[in-house]
Amino acid sequence: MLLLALTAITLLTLDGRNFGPLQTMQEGLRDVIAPIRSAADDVVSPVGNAWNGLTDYDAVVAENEALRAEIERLRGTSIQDETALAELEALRAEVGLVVEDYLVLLTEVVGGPIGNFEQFSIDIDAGSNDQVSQNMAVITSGGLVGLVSRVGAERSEVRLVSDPEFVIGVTFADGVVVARGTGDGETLRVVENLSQVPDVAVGDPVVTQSSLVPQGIAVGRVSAVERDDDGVLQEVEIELSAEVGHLQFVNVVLADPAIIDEERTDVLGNEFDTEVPANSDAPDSDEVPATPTTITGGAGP
Amino acid sequence: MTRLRVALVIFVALILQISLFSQVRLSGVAPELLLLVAVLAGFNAGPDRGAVIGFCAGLAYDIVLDTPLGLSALTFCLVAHAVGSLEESLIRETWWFPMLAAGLASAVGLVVFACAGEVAGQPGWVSRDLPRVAMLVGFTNMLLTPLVRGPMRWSVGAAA
Repeated sequence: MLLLALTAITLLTLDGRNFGPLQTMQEGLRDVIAPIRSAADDVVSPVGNAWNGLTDYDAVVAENEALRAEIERLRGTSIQDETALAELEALRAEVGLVVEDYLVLLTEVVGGPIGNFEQFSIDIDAGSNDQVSQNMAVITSGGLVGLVSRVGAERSEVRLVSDPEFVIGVTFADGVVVARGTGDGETLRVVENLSQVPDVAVGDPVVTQSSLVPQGIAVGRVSAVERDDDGVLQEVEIELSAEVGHLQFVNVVLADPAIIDEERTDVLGNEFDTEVPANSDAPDSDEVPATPTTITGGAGP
Repeated sequence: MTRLRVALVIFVALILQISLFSQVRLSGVAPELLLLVAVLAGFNAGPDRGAVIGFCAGLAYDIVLDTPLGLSALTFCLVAHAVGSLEESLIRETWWFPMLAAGLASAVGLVVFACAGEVAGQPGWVSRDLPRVAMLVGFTNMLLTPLVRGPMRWSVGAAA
């Protein structure tokens, strides 16, 4: 018993220190289990779907009605959006905004939390064989979903933006700040460098501003601003634009890891430098911004 | 032969946990099948053998989880040993007692796991929601006990 306990504590200690061979072994075993898990998921998914259909029937009906209304609204605004997009592209070419050329990989969400204490991660059907690497941004049409935290050969794990340990640099009202996940699945909380953001208002759009991910990825909108009596200290809450609770397909942004500043940290968070790095790959102001290219990998629909 | 049987039971439980029971949740809470394996191992195999089986079940679980490696192994080992130590003093004259005991041990085991996780640097595991999660895990594991008890007895033999 004592030997077992000491062995377990040793493993915990080594894991906490990111002991390379142990992590390599763990990733290897996960790669071995992955196809078995996929096959088991295929077998048991009807049971899971039936269960979720029974327990969430009312929510599914309500969501269906809401989605129908949203589709109708989007149809009505699509023409306006096309016009606005053309104007935006023209403006970008004129004023020299930095636009990053990146590839995105469409992939399927193949797994969610397994136990009861890892509610803030998903598994995607793409790995190192698909050019996915750690800290790559994962997005949907709604915006930022999270960052790749673990990479296997065929599968990867994504830490969701709602994770209490999630840290990302964002910008709004021309100020670059650090936002942290709150773990409630709906909001981020800005807790650092708020002095750089003098006038924040509810409804202000928030986008990424970090060396870890391409700039300008939608994060959400300001949903609440709390200031102290002196008006100096403030706490900002951001309502996420991406629906992280019901993901089926996501895009992995295959940004070149070479753009990551060695002085910055990964998603697990250490000292975070919020200064924006000089982007040596930024196009000149008179160049036409490149169009993102989408490649499809993994299982697909 | 016993070792192979135990390994088979742990493997099947692991596959069921990561496929079926990660999706079939009660109020957002999933059963903890490998914890149940550890509890029943302590019940059927005694404190020492139960601790070894609990350790192996926990380690198998740790491989697929994003939690610190060794945390489930340590917790399940302790829970199995505790259950095995208490097993001799338990009265088992009713058919429902093993289910109740397994459910209670599972709930306590989950709380121990959460506390160990906080010590190991996992924030937010000990929260206001923990009692609800522990109760639901205990309840679902209690319902699953008849399904798991048979394979465990087949692999390690029945309790004396």
